[in-house]
Amino acid sequence: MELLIAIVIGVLFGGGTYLILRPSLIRVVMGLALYSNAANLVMIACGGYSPDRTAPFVNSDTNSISTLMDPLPPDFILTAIVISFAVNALFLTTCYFVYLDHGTDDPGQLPVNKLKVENDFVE
Amino acid sequence: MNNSPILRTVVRVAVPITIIVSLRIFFQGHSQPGGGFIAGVLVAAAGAMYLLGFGIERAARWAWWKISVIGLLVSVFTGTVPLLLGRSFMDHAVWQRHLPVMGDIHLSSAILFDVGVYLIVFGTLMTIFVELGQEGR
Amino acid sequence: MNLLVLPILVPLFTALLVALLNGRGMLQKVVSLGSCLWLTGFVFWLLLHVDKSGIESMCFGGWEAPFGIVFVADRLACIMLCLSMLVGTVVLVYTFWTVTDIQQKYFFYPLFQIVLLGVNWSFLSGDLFNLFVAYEVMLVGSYGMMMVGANRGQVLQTMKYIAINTIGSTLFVVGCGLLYATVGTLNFADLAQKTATLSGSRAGLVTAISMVLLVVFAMKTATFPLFFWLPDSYPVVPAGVSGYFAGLLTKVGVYSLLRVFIMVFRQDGHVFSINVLLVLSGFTMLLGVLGAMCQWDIRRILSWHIISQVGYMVMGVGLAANPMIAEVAIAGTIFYIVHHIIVKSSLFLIGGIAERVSGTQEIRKMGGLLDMAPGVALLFIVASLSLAGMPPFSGFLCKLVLIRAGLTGGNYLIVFVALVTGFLTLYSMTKIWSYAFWRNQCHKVVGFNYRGMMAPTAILVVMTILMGLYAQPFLSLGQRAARSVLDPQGYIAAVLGSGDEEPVADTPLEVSEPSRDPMRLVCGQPKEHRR
Repeated sequence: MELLIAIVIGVLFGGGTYLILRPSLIRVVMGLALYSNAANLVMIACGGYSPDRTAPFVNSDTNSISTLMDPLPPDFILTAIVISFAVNALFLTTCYFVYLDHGTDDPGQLPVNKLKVENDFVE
Repeated sequence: MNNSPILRTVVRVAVPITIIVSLRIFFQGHSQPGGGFIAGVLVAAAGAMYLLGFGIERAARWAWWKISVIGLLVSVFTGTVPLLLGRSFMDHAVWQRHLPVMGDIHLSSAILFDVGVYLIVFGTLMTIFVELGQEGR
Repeated sequence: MNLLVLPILVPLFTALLVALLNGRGMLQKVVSLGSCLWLTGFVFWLLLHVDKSGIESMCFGGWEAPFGIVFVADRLACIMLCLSMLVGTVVLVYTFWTVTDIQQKYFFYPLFQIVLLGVNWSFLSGDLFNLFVAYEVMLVGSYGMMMVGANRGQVLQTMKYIAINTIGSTLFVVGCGLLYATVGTLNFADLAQKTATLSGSRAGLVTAISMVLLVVFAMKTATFPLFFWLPDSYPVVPAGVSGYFAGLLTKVGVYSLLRVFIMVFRQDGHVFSINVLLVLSGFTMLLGVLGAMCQWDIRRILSWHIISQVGYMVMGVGLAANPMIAEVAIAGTIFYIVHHIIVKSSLFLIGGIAERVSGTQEIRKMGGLLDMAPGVALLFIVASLSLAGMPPFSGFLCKLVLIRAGLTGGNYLIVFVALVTGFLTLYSMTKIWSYAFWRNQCHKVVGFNYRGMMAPTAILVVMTILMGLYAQPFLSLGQRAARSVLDPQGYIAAVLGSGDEEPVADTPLEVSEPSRDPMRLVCGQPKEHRR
């Protein structure tokens, strides 16, 4: 299971990096979303997930601790999901406004805020 | 798209069902998968369906963000009450009774917190839908 | 102590209330100011209380410490809280004169409270994941703050800022997860306890994970390889609020470095990561000030200076690798943070006034401010000399502490870099002074009434003079804070202990033998022989 999760994490991070490096803002947003999902998967893997463990407190008849899942990593993941959801929504909106303002989705075409050297200034 | 009668008919049926499902998920969230966030997302999905079917003009007149502000107030207030009673912040109490018709009732004060979360998620998502939907025109 | 939740509860309630009051500008101002003033009073009381009677902690919802969410207020956290609220209140008053109608309409005041909430939260949080959440709250507030009433350029810069910080957050989550898998806890006190017993490959693993967190915090503090986002994004923040951002937001990162790399990671070989910080700090200082020297936009100059000043603070953290000077270095860092937050905020506020008066951000176009606004010029010269480290002001003392610590520890190279940086800072400040203030007037008078903005700025400038002239209480407070950071037994006892145990690290200063007092190395005579 851990190997599978590790492979998926690698694929997600790789895909995210690929998307972030694409010349398109919407792909950057999607890449960051993939990043956050990969990070959540890291959390799952670190929590020692395995399919034959159950949540604690719900099935009170479990008498061995080895059949219980650590409840903290899922909590962390839920929090991280909500946060990344909010940030991604905000980021998407920002990118949309950038697109509306500049009429392009390509970061290469966007104006770079260069140092404005004004040589015509006279005292 | 707003004039599609098929879409409108579907929406008329689907929206109430989605709302009922979201309430079901909301109430099972205390000890099973579910809860305020997921239910809020579901009911916001119902809102999105309504927007698709019936257009955005009527919905845009509302200040949807106020719902999330009120929801956040409800949540934080639920956390603050134990503080005022001398317990720790976000502490909660459980109310367990056996009622004659409804059977065992298990009510936790945390459910108010979840109501707040429900409202926050619903309000925020509707704000996003309405604002982004208006921008295109 | 349950009251510890107030520094986040009050801004949250205020934010909600002020949001519901949207459209009634006057009422919003009154409510925000009232809550800020009240909370400032509370956190100063908290500082005195914690300084006197030991570390306070609080569990959320009755879940006990290593499992539940816990808030801890030790001296360092309280000092940071006080600064946050002090600068927050000052900046709030300042923004009453700068905020535009459109900003007010799009939730300027609620967002400001949200930023305060996030900053206060990150100082109080007692576990790593909570720190992450606090960071996110703070960042979301700051994204909003950059976007209110934004023009095209601002939106573009905000987008970059969001992108870089989202990547940082991802790494933070990954670091939290890996650390949880390795050590089994994320609570600071528990981590400090558990990492101290680690050795061998597991300690190496924790050091490797700490490198992930190092990248995260370096991103937030704008340390050497990851500082590029700062000079682009801070100039687009609304005038007054940029003072708060410049003062507090990067310092949250420095605080996290202190908390995590000095207090929490105590495994075998944790010195490695501190040494990495020392190397990075040298580059940060030098590159930051070099960047500032070639800028002509007043906000950009000041933003680049944040980077070089952060370098000094990170240098203090890095010097702590040597146990002999660790306490002095950390005390110096804390004092530096206090100094820097106050001075940098005041400089940004003064820059804001100068922009308003002259109608431009370009210092070559300003000119003649000394004649037009002599009060502003006075404030600026004091703040900038303090920033560059000239004697009567606080900047001199905190640089002195760090440099003496470096000399004692034999880190001559970094001391040299620090001195060069201080010199170049002075050059860069002189540039602003001679172009913007001293020269003949070369623009038409805008006729802006700046007097209202002067008063809050003056409070901060007076603070830096006071801290320079009457430094002993601040230094010894910094030293006590440093001691409890370096020796986390008191922290651990306060968080994990039964509660009635007396925290160990809270021995009063007078009890410690003067001969072993490392502060003596720096400040000369110990306290008794002073008068």
